[in-house]
Amino acid sequence: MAKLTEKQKMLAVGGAALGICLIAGAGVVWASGLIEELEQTIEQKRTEIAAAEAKIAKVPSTEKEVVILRENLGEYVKILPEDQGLEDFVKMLNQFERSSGIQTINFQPSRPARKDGKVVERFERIEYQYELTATLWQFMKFINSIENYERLVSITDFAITPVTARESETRDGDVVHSIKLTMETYTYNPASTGQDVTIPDYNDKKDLLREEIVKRMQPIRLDRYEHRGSRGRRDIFVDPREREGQAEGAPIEEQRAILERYLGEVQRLRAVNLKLAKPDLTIFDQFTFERELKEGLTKLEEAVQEVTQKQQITSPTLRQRWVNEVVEPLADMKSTRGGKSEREMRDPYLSADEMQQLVDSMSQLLTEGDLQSASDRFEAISPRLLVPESDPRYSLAVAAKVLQVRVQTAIDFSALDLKIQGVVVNHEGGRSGVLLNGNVFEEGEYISDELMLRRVEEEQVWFVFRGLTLIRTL
Amino acid sequence: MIRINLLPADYRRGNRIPPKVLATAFGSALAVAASIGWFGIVYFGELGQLERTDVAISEELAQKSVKGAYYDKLEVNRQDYSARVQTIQDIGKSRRAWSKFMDEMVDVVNSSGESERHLAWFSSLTVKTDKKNRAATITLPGAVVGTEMAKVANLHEDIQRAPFFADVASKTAPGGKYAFDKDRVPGDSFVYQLQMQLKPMVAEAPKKKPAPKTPK
Repeated sequence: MAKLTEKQKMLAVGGAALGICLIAGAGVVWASGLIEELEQTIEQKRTEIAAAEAKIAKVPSTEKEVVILRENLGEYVKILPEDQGLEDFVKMLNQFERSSGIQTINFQPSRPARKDGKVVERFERIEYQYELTATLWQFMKFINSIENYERLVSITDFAITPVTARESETRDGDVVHSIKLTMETYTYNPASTGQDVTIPDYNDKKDLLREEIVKRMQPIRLDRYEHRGSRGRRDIFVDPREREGQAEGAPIEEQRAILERYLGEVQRLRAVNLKLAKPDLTIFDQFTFERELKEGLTKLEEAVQEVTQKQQITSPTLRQRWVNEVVEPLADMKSTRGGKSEREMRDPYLSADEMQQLVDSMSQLLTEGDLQSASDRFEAISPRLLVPESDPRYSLAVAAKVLQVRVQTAIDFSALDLKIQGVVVNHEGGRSGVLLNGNVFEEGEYISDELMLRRVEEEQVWFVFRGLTLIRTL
Repeated sequence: MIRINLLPADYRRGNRIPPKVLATAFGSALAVAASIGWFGIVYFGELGQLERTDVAISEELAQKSVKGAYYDKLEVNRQDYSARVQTIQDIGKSRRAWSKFMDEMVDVVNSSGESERHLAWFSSLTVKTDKKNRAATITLPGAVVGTEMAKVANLHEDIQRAPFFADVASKTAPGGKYAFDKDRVPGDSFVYQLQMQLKPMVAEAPKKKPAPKTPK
């Protein structure tokens, strides 16, 4: 092998070194590519981690939301029957028919047919077609019952066609109409929804959120309305004019007179009711007015029932006034005054102060000789004096009753037919006498079983009546 | 003169590596060492560190992805339940209380027993509800007793004052045709056709704009 020259050696060494350097450089470029790729991967993973962390941060609030919604949904779907609830719904409709008095002619459900393989809708609409006969009030009661039913049923279409025949059917005196009605409801199919995610420690979380669940449990807003019947109103699908030669009921003047008579009584009772509302009433006034109102309302109610039963007011316009101005105010007054007051519910008796006031006032009236007023005061509140013996007010109640016995005795005595025709007063120690109802009685003599002549003076005669000494002046 | 070179063979001028070659070799060795070192730093240093980071991040991501997937399922559940509740609420809102409407209409026509303003009745009633927006159309042909057209106007005025009128979107104007019924007392009346359109109960979704036509 020929010896290399110096130049050749330099080239060989330099070339070999360059080759190695190039390989190393290529390795660096390759490694840099890997680094760049890995950096991108890492960056992407970091982004994914950040996204996952953002989600994880929302887990507690979402879990809470899901628990609340899941628990409340059960309540919400109560307004929609599930498939198996439809039978109950139809039975309920039947009950509404009976209670309202409508007569069903035809009842047909129309349900969209489910095709095989098709996904069952979560909320499925079912329509019912009704054909019925009913008076206007029966129909209104029927639809009101449906609308107030706990399940959501929506009446979409209806048509009322009055029967125009001269001798149309009537129920309870009202004309029967032919009615077509379409209603719809929805069924809820919980099975059609996706699987529920399993929340760890669900029951514990539910317990912790109990308050929140109840707070958020807003029932679905279903407008409810209470239909209160005809209230004397006329059927708006009936021609209100009378048929030629077929006037019904008493003459209109007579009907108006009946109405006016009861209007007067309602006004009188309203005035008493107003007096009762005054704040400065004494207990005696209060009890007197209450009694007057109670008695008045009872009498008026009986009278109103009689007028209604005998159908004394048949004119549509007067019938409306009768209901608006007599029947309804009477019902209102009865409802406000009919029951016991809150105080009476707590303590059915008079307070000690009130009892003392009663005793004082009766004593004063007795002294003044106003026996009837004293008796009236007692009678007005006597049911509230029946305190038990153990009650500290018992002695006051007894005192009031004792006074009432005296008042009643005095009233009964004053009602006795005692005609004093003359007196003989003996100043010398002998017994005096009196000429009473044509008979002479001496002091100490019994006039009747309950009445004894005690003493005779020139200007007054003393009697003992039922153990009580009473004086009659001449 | 004879010169004898006593230096070892390698040190003899003729046999030793020339300095240029030596310098080249040294320089080359340095360059090779530097380039291999650079590669080593890049490959085993930077890339190795990144690979370790990647392993750690992948583990973290795997852990967090499980929780993230749980959140996704929860969110799907939440949206599902919210949608169910919303649907039920929409169904609930779409209902109209017709017994209330009828009661109020009866009150209007009865006019508290007052027949001076009008004494009216209806010959039929038809209610139809639009299935989409739940607006209802009420058709009430009827009549008012008397010969005065003003009584029809009074009835319309009373209808406008009724509570249900807040839900009325439009109503026919008062009008009528004189009619006489010899079988009734009084026989005079004005026959009218009353129609009311009630407001929708459900807001209709806006219609989608048609896609622009692409030229053929």
